[in-house]
Amino acid sequence: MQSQGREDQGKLSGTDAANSGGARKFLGFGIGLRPKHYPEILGHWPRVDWFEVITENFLVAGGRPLRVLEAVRARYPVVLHGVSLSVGSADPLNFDYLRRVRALIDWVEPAWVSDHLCWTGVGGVNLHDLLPLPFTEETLRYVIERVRRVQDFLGRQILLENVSSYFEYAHSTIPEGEFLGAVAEGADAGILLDVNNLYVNATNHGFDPLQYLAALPVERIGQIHLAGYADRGTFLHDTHDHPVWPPVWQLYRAAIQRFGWVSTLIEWDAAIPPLDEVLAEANKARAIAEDVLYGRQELGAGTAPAQ
Amino acid sequence: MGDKNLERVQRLLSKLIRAPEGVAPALPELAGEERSLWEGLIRPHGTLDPVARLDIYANMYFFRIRDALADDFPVLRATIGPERFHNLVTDYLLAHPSRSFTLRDVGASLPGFVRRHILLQDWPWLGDLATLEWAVVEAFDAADSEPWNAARVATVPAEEWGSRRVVWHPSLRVLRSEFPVHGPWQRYQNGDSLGALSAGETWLRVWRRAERVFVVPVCPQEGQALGFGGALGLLAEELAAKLGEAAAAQQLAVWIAEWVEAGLVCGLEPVTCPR
Repeated sequence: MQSQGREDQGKLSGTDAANSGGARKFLGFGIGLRPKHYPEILGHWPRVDWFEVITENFLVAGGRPLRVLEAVRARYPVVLHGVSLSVGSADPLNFDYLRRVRALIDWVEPAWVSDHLCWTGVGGVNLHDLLPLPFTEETLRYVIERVRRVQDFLGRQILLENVSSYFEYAHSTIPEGEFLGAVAEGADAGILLDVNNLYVNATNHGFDPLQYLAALPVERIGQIHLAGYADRGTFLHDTHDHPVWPPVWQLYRAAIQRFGWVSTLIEWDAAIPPLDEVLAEANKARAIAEDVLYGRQELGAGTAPAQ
Repeated sequence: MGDKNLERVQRLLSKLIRAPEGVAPALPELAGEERSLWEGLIRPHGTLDPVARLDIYANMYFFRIRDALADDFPVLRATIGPERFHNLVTDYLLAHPSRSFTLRDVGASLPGFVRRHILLQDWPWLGDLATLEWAVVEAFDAADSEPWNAARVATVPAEEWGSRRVVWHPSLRVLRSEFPVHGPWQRYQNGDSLGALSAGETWLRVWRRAERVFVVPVCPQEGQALGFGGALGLLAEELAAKLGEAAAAQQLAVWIAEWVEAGLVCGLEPVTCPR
């Protein structure tokens, strides 16, 4: 039985959470809540630090999805992760959608809320994909203003995730990591750092992922995603259908060294294995974080967070 | 509307990603401004050219939606086969690109689209089947409501029944079909072969009880009664005109007992204006 109580809602603070261990909410090492695992979760309440749920899957009137979420929320910390904010779209913000998200937030009381730094459609047509933005000063100003409006409407800070991408705009002028950091700073938002996406993009576009990590403001990192990609030969595809690959674990190690204790989540959305295998990946992340940070603590360079 | 340049770029990319034959065949059709916008838009890098890079998104766009529709219309797909289903989705997306924030809604217009599709020549029941499958989708996550049990129903004074109407469970859908499409739907659930269908008027009630969706054929009179929104007294009068007063009262009592047992009745509310 999971015994953690509900975490208080709250914004990421502006302090250096990596070292304070108290300002940034640390939930531990969680997994995505997926229907394939519902019977085992609802039947046995396995030990899981926390769950992330896809917001849109629960923007429904009733039925099984909401009953499952209600039961899970009563026993585990839950985070809402959206895919439809489309904060970088040229279309107006969809306030009908945001109203529904806000109602779900009020009901679920998630530890935090996240979505992606991307656009998903334009002209009223949804591509149901997370498309990259041109990293320009003009886009930066545009997105910052939109993120601020979203946060004002939701009445809370959100975390923005870096998306995997398969092309870059020739007119981009700002490195991706700097752009993400500048959006977070400019809008006073948090960052959900997807380490797999970072590795995929670094490979697909030929940049140094460590420089990317160095460009991110430490105090803005609120969560980390880990997942598996597929190697298509000419590019890496962010498929979420494999275990986390060794180079992504290596990059995760580097991220933890820089950012400290950050709530980490395993995403597995296709070819989903039994729950134990997904939890094993979460425990592998835990072992790496402990190895990096307890080792660092022994050297007097950090402290473990209170859980 | 924000950044106009951003809008032009996104509209161009959306158009190319949704092009039915892929990105490359769509490029020659680009007009002047779009063509100049496309030239040099994507940074060349490595072995993948810009067209191949955008095609990754084009493929994901189509396959993600096709797979979502296959999840929502599995019997339709099994009936016509995966290749025709693939082509049907291609046609559908050209006519009905997704305008919802959620993939859950992407199939909302498919039943109507199928009713006008050439596939109907070979499978005339396809539109009715798609309508049934979409009703199942809607029932699955319709709003919750607590059904009344028999004891609660019995608390309504007998003299008030005639001026009350049934509050149905929000998941209830009543369908009238030209074909008994619940047959292939049920056979698919059982893992049996689908078989052909002969025409025949069919009424179906689709609803969710607890977390399970049920599809049950009913007689035309019950189908019409389920769709009747007025007071039970008026419903009894309509039935009496067809069955006679005593038989109508008996039939209505049987139906109400069944509806309560099935979890369809979520209230018996007074009707201020019976008609």
